[in-house]
Amino acid sequence: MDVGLVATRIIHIIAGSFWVGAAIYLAVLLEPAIRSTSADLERQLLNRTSKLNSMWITGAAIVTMVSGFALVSTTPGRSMSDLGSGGWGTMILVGLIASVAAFVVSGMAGGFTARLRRGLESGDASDDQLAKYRRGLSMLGYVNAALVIVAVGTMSSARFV
Amino acid sequence: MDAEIIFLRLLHIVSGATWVGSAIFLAFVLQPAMAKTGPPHAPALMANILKPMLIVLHSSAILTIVFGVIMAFRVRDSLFDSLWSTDWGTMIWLGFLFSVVGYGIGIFAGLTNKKMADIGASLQGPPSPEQAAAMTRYRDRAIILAKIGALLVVAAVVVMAMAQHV
Repeated sequence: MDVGLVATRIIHIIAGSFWVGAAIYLAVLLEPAIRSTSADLERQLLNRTSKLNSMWITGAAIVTMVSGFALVSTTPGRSMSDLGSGGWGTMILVGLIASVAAFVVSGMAGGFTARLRRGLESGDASDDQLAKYRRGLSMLGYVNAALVIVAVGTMSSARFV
Repeated sequence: MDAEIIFLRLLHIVSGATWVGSAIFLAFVLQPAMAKTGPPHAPALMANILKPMLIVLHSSAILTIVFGVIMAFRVRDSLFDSLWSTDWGTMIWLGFLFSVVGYGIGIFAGLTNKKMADIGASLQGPPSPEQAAAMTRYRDRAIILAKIGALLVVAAVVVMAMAQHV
């Protein structure tokens, strides 16, 4: 048993699972629940959770991607030059693109969250602006969740195509 | 390409990732953050989030376990022999055991959260000292149970991920 390879795989799977699960949890459960509360409660919850969520999810995303690259490089018979060629390489490349896109979308969602939090905090933002931030945040959350599902789906089936 | 195995694997892994990630996020990020926020905000959020959370966690956990069991039968013809006589089998049944126990503990965490949310939902104003103490007790218990459940599910992932390498 190649201990390094197995350890990298475990790190990749756990960090990736956390990323996928947290993205779905945020998009499907937490954001709608926070939206349905009062503006004051929304402000306090955003203050309490948004930076923490962002830190954990960004951390998990980075660990997943770095360990993923390490896995491609260290798996016997596979290398980075295989990306995009053949069934395995195509699926891994699609998964990689979906992961990077999810990471970017997640960052954009973080931007909307920060604007919403500042708007609620200062009281300067109009209702229209706040509604725009909420819509943007909600849409990006669902896009992010869909992208990470595509990433995990393509990568987990790569070995079999 | 075995389409059936790919399909089962996809369902097992996507639902498994949803389960594991949600469980870790809930146990190690959201609940501790809510504990710092305290009443009345934490129970109010929990009351809103509890029902959809239970649907997501239960359905993802059940789908993961069911598709995992079906997949194990599909990839090994003599599964029950392999379970006890090979290292692969040992890892698979250990993972199954961890996941089922983790799921069971997660159910208790959900029930404990529900007790806290019920008190929160019944509040007409600030909680009385007894209500606040009861909510704190349920909250702390739910956090510990959720953490144990999440760690067991992570342990299930670890041993299952190792199965093909031993």
